[in-house]
Amino acid sequence: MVKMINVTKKYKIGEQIIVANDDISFEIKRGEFCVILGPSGAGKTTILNILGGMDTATKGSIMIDDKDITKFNLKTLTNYRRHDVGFVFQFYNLMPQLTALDNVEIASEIGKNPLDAKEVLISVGLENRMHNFPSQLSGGEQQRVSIARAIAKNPKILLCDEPTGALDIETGKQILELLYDTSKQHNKTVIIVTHNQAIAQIADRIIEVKNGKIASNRTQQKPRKIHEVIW
Amino acid sequence: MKAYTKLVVRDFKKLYTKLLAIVFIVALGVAFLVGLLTTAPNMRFTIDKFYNQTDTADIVIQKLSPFTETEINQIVHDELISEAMPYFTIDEPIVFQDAYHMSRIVLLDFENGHNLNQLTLIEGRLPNGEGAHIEVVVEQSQTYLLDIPLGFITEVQGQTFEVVGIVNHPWYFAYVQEISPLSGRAIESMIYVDKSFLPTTTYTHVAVKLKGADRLDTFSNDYKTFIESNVDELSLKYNDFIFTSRFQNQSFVKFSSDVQIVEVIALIFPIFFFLITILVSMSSMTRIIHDQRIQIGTLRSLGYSERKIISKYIIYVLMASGIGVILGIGLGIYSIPYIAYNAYVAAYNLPPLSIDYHFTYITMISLTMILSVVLVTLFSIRNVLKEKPSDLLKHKSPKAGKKIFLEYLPFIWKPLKFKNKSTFRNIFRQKRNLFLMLIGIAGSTALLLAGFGIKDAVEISGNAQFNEMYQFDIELSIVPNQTSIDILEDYETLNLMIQTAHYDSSDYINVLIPEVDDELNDYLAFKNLDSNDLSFGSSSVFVTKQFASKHDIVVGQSISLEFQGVTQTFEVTDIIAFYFGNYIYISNSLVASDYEFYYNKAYVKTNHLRPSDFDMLIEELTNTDDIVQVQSKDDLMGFFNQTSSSMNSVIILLVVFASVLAIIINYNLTLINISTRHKEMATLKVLGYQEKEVSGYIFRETFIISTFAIIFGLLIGRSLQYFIISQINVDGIILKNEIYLLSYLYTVGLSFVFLIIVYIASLPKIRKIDMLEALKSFE
Repeated sequence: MVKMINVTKKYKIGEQIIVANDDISFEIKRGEFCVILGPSGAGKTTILNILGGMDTATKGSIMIDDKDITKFNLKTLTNYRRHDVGFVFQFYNLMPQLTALDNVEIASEIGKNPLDAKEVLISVGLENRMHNFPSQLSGGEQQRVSIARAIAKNPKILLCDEPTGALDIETGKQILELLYDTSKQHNKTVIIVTHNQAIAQIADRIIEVKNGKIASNRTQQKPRKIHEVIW
Repeated sequence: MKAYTKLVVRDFKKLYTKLLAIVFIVALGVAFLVGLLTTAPNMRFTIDKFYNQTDTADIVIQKLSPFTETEINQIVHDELISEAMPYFTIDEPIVFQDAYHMSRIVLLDFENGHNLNQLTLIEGRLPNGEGAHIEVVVEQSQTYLLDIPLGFITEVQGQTFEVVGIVNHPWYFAYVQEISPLSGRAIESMIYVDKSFLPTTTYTHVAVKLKGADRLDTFSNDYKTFIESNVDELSLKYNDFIFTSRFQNQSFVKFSSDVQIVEVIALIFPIFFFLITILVSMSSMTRIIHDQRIQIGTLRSLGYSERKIISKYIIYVLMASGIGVILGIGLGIYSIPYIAYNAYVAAYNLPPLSIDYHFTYITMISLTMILSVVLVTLFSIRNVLKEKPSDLLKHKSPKAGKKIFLEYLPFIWKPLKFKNKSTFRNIFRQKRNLFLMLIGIAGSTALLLAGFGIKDAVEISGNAQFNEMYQFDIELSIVPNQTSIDILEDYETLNLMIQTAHYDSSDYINVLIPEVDDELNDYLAFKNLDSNDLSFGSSSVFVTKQFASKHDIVVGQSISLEFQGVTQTFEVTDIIAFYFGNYIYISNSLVASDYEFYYNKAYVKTNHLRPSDFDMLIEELTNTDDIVQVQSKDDLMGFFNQTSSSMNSVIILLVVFASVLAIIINYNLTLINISTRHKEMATLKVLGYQEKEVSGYIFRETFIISTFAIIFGLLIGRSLQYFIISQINVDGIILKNEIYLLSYLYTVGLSFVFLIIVYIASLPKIRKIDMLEALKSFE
């Protein structure tokens, strides 16, 4: 369970104070496939950063199961990222000098209860590309490595920031399918941040953000299958 | 145009911390270069100036008998000679602190002043002939000269001398020993007295200055050839005169060779410092230019010319290196020469250092430095401009990974832990950093080891000679043939004859002949150059190593020595290891039977006497009339200690430089490394790596590279040490090519301490890396 309670995040840029998140509250249940939707600058990435323990809230609390991560110090927050959260980025952020397998191991080797790196790579369909370097992989393949890296840690939550943003439609769909299957097969909470309305069609829960506030928070009883999605 | 100028100014404000790094490294490099390269020239300049100020003679002319008035007139009016000053010297023992000490008494014209070899007054005043006694001044004390105080009164030839001043004579500024030629005894004081002291005016010496010598630098080859050709010409004219030029003056010789040591040490480092400066500037500049790729691409696409874009970076680098050069000159021109000079002054009575500005050197160093930094900048910017503007606008993808050679060695690669694999790949990915770090750390490690190694070599040599070779405890100089000394009855003693011999007409050497040949082995444990024990016997002729190599003497060779006016030939049986001083040991059975033996030296073994008893014995010996000089082993080590202490200061200088350098290079490279790879580190932070693990990611590489660099540096350092000590070709000192194991440990230890310092200093930089960076594609 992920729960944000009255979370406010303010940035100070020079003399100006920018309110990125303004008194946000929502709850996402375990195993849900959730899409946070909103235009650029709405504050959705800030939500993800705070949820992922990469940034801290100015006010409010964030409950992950029964723990409030706003009470964490630097070290426990790092441990939270280490064990409980998996990240998938728009631009993959793979280590260029490491092979696909190494890039997964870099995450799994510090996990508490990690999955086998090779098996995870096989499950994302990269059994023949394990020993390639990122520069030798296509965008879609790189994003698969990045997802494998996130899954291999065996985290509670997968946080994805525009995971299909740099990919073509067909590859994007495959990536979404992979994320969806992961959520359902392993009962993981997956939170995707995107400005792409189409992705929302497959979500269990859709949270819309506008001007730093929650505009709507609804669940879909019957989300569409990915191949049915009209882009 | 205006907008571009604005951009140049704005960017400068943004980049100035990075440019400051260039200023700093250039300043440091120039300081080292200027300082080290001008040290020896300044030391020479000081002495040359000193010679000019004191009107030091170019040549001293002597004759076996006193000069006649006609001869003096001839010399004074010789067309080659511009000025002449005849004077008289006698060597006489004087009583000082209840013992006789050989003194050289020099009669000068204090009444009218003397035109050459001006004395520099250190304390008191010059004689003015007003007191009740004959007023004299004495040479300032040093290792070999007594510390005679003002007001001291003594009798010489029935007349009373009173010391009214302490002076320096320009021919005696080094701590070297003068021997009285007739008695073979060491001169222990120099007394200058007005010539009216003796009723008749006779002259034994004439100090002269040659016409045209004034304008030449004493240390130049021109001066040397000038003097040599003049001496040749004079020798033809006056064939029974003996000419002693500055080149035979012991002080000059010692000073020249000491300056040579400084010069050798100084010459090795500039290349290294220069290389480091250039490499560090290059990496800083490349980094700056790399960070501005997009801006460069934008300007290119807007149609700005390459020249215009290049000019911006050239302006920056000219400013940075220009300021660096100015700071460096200011820093280096005084500091290093002063430190080096003052280290060496310990063995001299010298005037303070005079700094000559050596414009040629400084200009050359400055221009080379600026030019090189500009060139490497041009090189980096050209590399960027080669790319198409459209490619420049895209973010440059990080260097791709590829397999490294280790991966083809599965027995090494397979068992490696994952993080080590990534470390190794990284090491080879950043080849320039790898190279820089290797040079920087290997270089500073080498300097450290060389520094410690030189110190070791001095110590090991001293130990080999004074503790391993010298088996006697006291060395005595005795009034010739007065060898039966009552208080030595209970001790083992060996009498020897020491005699200065001419070798090859150009050089002289002390010859030692023992009274009983095979007993010498009990007092001196001889070793040959391969460290094998040698036994001295009835056919032995042993030559010390330095003298042998100076004259290319080999075992089996016949050498001619002239002493007491007789020339005799000896066959060299062995070359011996000997580090301080030069001697030839000759068996007494080889010396011509009609030779007039006299024993004026003795070695004494005290067989582990208690220190208090030993001191008492020394005291008693000192008070024995027939004993001229008593030297315990500690006294003999005096010269060695003096050398080692002056070297130590230079070594401290070296070690400090090397340390500063190591830290700067390392810190700079670490910062570059962090900034090049902050994105990787941000990703690691996002993945939940703790701070220590993130810094470990960078520092594992640094430590591995450093370890290799340190090993490499130790190898270079050992060769450097050998090179330096073999170049230290000072008369009377030759060093053993050895080093203590402990020095390797110190060097390795210090090198790692520097690494740890850098590690700790850069931790905050790693802490500051923003994780959110990882999410962004562009910087």
